[in-house]
Amino acid sequence: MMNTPTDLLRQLPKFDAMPRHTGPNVPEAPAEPRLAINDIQGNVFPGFNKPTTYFTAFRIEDVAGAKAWLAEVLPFISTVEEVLAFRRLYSARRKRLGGAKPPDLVDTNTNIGFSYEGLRKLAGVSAEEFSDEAFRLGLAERAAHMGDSTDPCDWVIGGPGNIPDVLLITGGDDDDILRARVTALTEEAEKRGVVKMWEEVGLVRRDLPGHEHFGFEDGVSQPGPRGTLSDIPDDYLTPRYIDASQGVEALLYGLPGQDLVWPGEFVFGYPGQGPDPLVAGPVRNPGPSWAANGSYLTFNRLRQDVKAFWTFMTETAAELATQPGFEGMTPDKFAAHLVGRWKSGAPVARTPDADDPTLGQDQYANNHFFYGSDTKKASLHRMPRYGGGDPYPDAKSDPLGLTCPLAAHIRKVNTRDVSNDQGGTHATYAVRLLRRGMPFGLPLEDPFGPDSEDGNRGLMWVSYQTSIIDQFEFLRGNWMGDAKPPRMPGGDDMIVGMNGRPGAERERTCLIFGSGLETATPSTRQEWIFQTGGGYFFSPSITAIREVLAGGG
Amino acid sequence: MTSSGRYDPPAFMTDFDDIPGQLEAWSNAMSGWVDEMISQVQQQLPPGAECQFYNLVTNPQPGPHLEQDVIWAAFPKLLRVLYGTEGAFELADNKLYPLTESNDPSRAGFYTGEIWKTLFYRPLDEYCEWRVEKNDAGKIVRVTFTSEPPEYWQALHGDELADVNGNPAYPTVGDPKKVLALYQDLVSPEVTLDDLRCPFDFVDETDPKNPVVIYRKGGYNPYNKWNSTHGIMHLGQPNNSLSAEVGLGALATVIFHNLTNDPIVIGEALVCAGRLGGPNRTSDPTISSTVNDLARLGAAITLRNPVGLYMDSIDLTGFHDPSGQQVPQEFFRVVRGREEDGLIERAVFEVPEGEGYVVGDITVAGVPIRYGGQIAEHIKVKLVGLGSSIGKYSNASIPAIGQCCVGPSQPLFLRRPSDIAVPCDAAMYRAFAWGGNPQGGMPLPQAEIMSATAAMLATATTRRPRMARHRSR
Repeated sequence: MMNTPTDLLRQLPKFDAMPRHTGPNVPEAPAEPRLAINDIQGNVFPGFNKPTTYFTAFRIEDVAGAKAWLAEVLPFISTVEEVLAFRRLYSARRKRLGGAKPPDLVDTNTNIGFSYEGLRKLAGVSAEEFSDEAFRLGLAERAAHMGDSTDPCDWVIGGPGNIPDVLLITGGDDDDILRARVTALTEEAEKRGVVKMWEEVGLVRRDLPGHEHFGFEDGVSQPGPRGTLSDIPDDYLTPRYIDASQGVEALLYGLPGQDLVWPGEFVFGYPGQGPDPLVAGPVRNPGPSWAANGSYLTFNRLRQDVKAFWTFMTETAAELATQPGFEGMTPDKFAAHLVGRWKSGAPVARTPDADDPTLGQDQYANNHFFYGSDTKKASLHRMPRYGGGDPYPDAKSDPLGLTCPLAAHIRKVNTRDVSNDQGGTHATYAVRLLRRGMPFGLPLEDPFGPDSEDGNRGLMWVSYQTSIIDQFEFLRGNWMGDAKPPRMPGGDDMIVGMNGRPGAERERTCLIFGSGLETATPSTRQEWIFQTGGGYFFSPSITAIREVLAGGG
Repeated sequence: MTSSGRYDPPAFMTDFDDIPGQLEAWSNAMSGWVDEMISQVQQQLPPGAECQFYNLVTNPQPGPHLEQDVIWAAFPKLLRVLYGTEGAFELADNKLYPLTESNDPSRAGFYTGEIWKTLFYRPLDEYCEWRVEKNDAGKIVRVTFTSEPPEYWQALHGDELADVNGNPAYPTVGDPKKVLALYQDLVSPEVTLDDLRCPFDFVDETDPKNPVVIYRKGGYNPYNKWNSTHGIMHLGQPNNSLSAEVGLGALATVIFHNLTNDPIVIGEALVCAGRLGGPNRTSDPTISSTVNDLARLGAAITLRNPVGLYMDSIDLTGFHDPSGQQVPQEFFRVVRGREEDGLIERAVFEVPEGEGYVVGDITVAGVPIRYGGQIAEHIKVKLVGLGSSIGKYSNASIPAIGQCCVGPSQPLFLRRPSDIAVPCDAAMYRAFAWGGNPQGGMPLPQAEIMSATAAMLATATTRRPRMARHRSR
């Protein structure tokens, strides 16, 4: 009797808590750097992943007071080590409970970031060694070149004269404990001349956990930072699942489709990408020496107009359905082709005609597809039932975007194994971001129904990277903000792109193919993503907070 | 087939139109380059395989075609890789190299001999070059961009165009007075015809026993001062030529395999394995692998007419005037070519008279413009490919013939593709030794790579191709 995909899914262990050998023992695997897991803040990796997260912004009015406050806050800053350890404990208990969520196992995590001005207040002239021009100028100065049409003076936080020095991110499993933590830290701050400017809460959707407000599963594909956690052989931060018998794929990916990227792309003081993905590049530390083990944190409060989004999808799908080659087009299918994934997370490349929620939820399959060649099955070494690969239809070669449009959001931000306008595929490794955002505001169940929140919902975007200019801004301003890159025949990013090109009047257009090479060019001037706040911050190491930012006071 | 029945001039530019016989001569040269490359590729292919690149004019393919814009970023990635962002901006704007030197430290200069020390090119090798003009206060007032190939200007002058191996082969009619008039109009009224011509044969003495005339006495000099030190009219970097573009398009249809017999699919790895140009560029790896993706689907492939190199567009989002307002698109003025079709050959970025400020007062993302490169960063360059008849071909692959070595002193730099049979120097490693196919076999241990390479080459059933002039650079 064949196991159905649903059977398999139920039987898959999500996480083996204690075994530390997370990679195949392959002699030719490159040596990876040891990560300072007790010095790097834990939202960088693996990320808090909490159902509720507070974002609190502060202004430093008393530097000495701020240093004293930081010394009080420091014990609450969660590191990589403890966030990982909690995840392992949680998984072990969940496994023992047969998959049920442990009701009383809770944790609260706090991380902290500082703007350029904040670092200058606390660290003096050495802060000027941060060379990233975007970080130095700040998001408000830079937003327009990424296509943003809003006036930063209207932002709730981060506009001119309203730029915070400190951003605290606190996530937790228990709302009371979480609220108490945030209140306590804020009270201590205010006593010492660190003034709260703004606070808001990010909430994982309770109705559709893991989905953003347009309805799509978010964060399916993240890069897998290379690096080890200890001296134990193969104790990788990013577990390796692909069997060595599969070939070089076992050396390039963690989960199938999860690119392994040298950690210097995300954390200061580590080797970044070189021209060969298997060979470590030079160490990146474009800042003062105490920037090591830190990371830039980009934060954007993005309001999402869910009704406008689905109005466009519904009206355009109806028009398309009357055209040869696009018969049967539905709003969900049209939107999926513009995202590159269905709402469940299932990739259009593997299932172009209908959603497949089992595939969408299957992390061992939902990211396994190539564009430049037919995708072959990948044997997994830690998942015996996937020893021959996953059971879903495999993606076919699609270099021209006939199956998954080149303008689809996931193809606009990552070209995978096909080339892009930056030359070959180096950018597939070099413009990646660790994304830690979460929704804010309550969901709008029916996009066309009454809205008790008056449109106040969206995404608290957070990403970590070591170059704001060459990673975050490159993706938003260049690939997502322009019609031609990264690869043609594509078009504008219809989902989250912004067209600020002069004379274009915000119009976004793209090319999609029908069943028999017919083409259509949907377009709109309507926007549904609005910048309403944000900023650029630096998330320092524990050592830097203790010895530089809190020190010398 | 093309609507004119010919290969038309780049961007359908009209300078040839009233020179009798010139349009035919140009088409003849273009067609000749295509046919030469088809022949070269055919020699490279294994027995039973047929060249997938075809001549659009003499051998049009039936059935529906797909046009594909192949785009790449204009700012030279090689300079960034070698010198970092700030260093790259500085060199891109301000340094001219003599032809006796290469801007690529892993290769020798382009030509040898006294004359070549006095002839200069810009280190801009992504088929888009620019020149900056500043006012007395040191602020940029104008940046002029060009993607015109040098062969167009040789043809306009009436010179015999070279074949892909550098030998004179394709006569043209030309009209030197037109060349002069355009230079006087677009570069300087002081230009004379003598300035634009070679006063004697320009000879390459790289092989002292076999000196080669590159440009003839009386012929057009692509390195004349009005296109280098004193102005800009067309591409000058020796890798930026139309015949090189045609060559790359054709050669990239060959499928190469690696030591585990898997096809090489990653762009940079393909350039290295097939010795297809500059692996550090935005252009060559992307052109090569985009063509190769179609080749592996068995398609018939060619370059769309009019064949040329083009600036497709510029994105001026975030370019703000001193009052913080977005500058209009018109500040990027297209002078030659067709803006609406993305076939831009010459353009000028400047602030119109009377606005009260200059280019150097404009900010991009909050940063004042100090380099023309900051504008070039927002330009996309392109060629247009044509694919059809998917599945028509099922050519076998051939063994990789090249490799790029990487050394510790320049860890981001892929050295120019070299013979795969010769090991990299000690302390260097062969990039993409893992094979350049993410679904390929497990890479071999370092100690076994050279013997496996020899074994792979021993399976080759074709002659190693003669390195054509444009590829040996």
